[in-house]
Amino acid sequence: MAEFFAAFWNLVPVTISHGLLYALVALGIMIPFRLLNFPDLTSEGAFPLGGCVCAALIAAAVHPLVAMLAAVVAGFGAGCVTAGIHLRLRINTLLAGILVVTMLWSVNLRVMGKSNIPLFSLPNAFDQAWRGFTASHGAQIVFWVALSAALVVVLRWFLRTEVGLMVRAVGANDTMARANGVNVAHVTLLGVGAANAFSAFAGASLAQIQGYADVAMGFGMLISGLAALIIGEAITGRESVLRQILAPFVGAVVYYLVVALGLAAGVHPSDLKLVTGLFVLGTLGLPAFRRTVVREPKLRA
Amino acid sequence: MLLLEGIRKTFNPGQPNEKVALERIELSLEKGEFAVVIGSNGAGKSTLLNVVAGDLAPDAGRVAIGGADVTALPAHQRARFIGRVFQDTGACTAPGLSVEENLAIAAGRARTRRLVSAIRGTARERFRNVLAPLGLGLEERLAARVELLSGGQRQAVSLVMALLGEPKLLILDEHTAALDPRTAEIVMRATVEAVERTRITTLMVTHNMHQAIAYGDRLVMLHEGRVLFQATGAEKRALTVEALVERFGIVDDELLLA
Repeated sequence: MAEFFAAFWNLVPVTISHGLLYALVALGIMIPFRLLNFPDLTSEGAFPLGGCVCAALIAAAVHPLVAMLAAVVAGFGAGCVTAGIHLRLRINTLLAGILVVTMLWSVNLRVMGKSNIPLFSLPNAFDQAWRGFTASHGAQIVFWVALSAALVVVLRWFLRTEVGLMVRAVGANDTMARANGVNVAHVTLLGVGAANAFSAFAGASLAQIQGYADVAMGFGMLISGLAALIIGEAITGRESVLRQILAPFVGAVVYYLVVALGLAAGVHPSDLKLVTGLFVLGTLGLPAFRRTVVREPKLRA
Repeated sequence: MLLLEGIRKTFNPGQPNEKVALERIELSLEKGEFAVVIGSNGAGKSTLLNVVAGDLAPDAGRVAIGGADVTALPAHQRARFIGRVFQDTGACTAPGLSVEENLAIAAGRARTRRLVSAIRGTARERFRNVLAPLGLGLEERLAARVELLSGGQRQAVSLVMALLGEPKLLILDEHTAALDPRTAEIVMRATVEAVERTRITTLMVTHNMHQAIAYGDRLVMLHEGRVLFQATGAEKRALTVEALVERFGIVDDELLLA
């Protein structure tokens, strides 16, 4: 038992900083799902796209900050492509997302020229800005907590501005938005783009912090992000803008702490995706399950 | 103020289920005129409103609002000239947003939205002032989410929203049809008051013959995509339900019983 707690305790610092990094992916899932009512899967591809673009450019001796910026722009573009496919070709948002994710796999391989780029010996934006950043759990926690707090504050402000209300109107009732002069297509395009820019930023950050980018680094990212979002919403609720924005951050930390608990308890890492998938399935399926439970006594009566 | 010239609209052209919804519609409303459009199911009432609002592009013809040709403008760009209230009590409002946020969205219709707090300065006071005359106590519920309001309250908020931003044309698409009689009466009274106060040009579609007789200063009867009959001024005031029924041999129970 003591061993288990020691193992878990050792995982906590890295879990918090990684959790908040992955919170950006959960945020990139929350924005289309909850704010725009546009269920979007693109983050599964935007996340590795960010990592691959950033790594390829750093390997090509581009300044790491420029490489990160390019990664964010690429993620934004990926989101716009998904939204554009849906808006222009009237293809279901989920299918549009799967199409883009699938195509991005090839794009990512093209961008990198191989399936994996090591960055250990190359400069990265974090260590340049903060000496010893990638070696220090403390520095990483401080950075990600500060970034998350700043994002929450800015997003809460933004969603109450005139422009922000326009975004929320599109998600809440697009007929109403249109009748009130909102260009629904533009807002959707920019919103889904921005969401995937967050995912790409997370991918670019992870590549630099872990010291490599891999074409498979996005695998399962969407389901983990969705699980994090669901957990977060269960904790914070969704009654206000602030609660909705906090959900991905709170949820991602809690989700990865639970994963760390599982790992410390000896769950095999390769089983994690199955467990996470079952969790998401269980949560999403709970309402249906509840209905049958309620109906059963009636049938007997 | 509103001019429709030779509007045609056919759904599914060239297919077995082809349907001519509008066939050469000519209609002209003066500034401040309140027109009531009646007609049975399939007469083309909704199609007409959708063409005016820009949700549907006509196959032929011209739509002009306040002298400007808007035929090529998409709905969201026409929104600065047009306020709309639909029949569905949920259609005109964003359910998860508060009353004041909904009003702020509508108030921003006629101008470019900026990155500034949507509810600032005297906005709340202004919103209270436009809600109070409804007599529904909505001015005390600015922060309440719209989904918590009753259907009648939502329609009243929708009406107030439609009139924010000083549009040139008000479109009412059977906006009291989904309400119980008492609430419908309240919303209709608020509508008439607002139309009289603002002198806004209004196009109201109704299924209800009594409403069509009681309100407005022009009656437009649509039938199979054409304007079958129009009455204004003294002729409109002299109309009765019985006279209309007799004249057009209306056998559509729906129109009479609504």
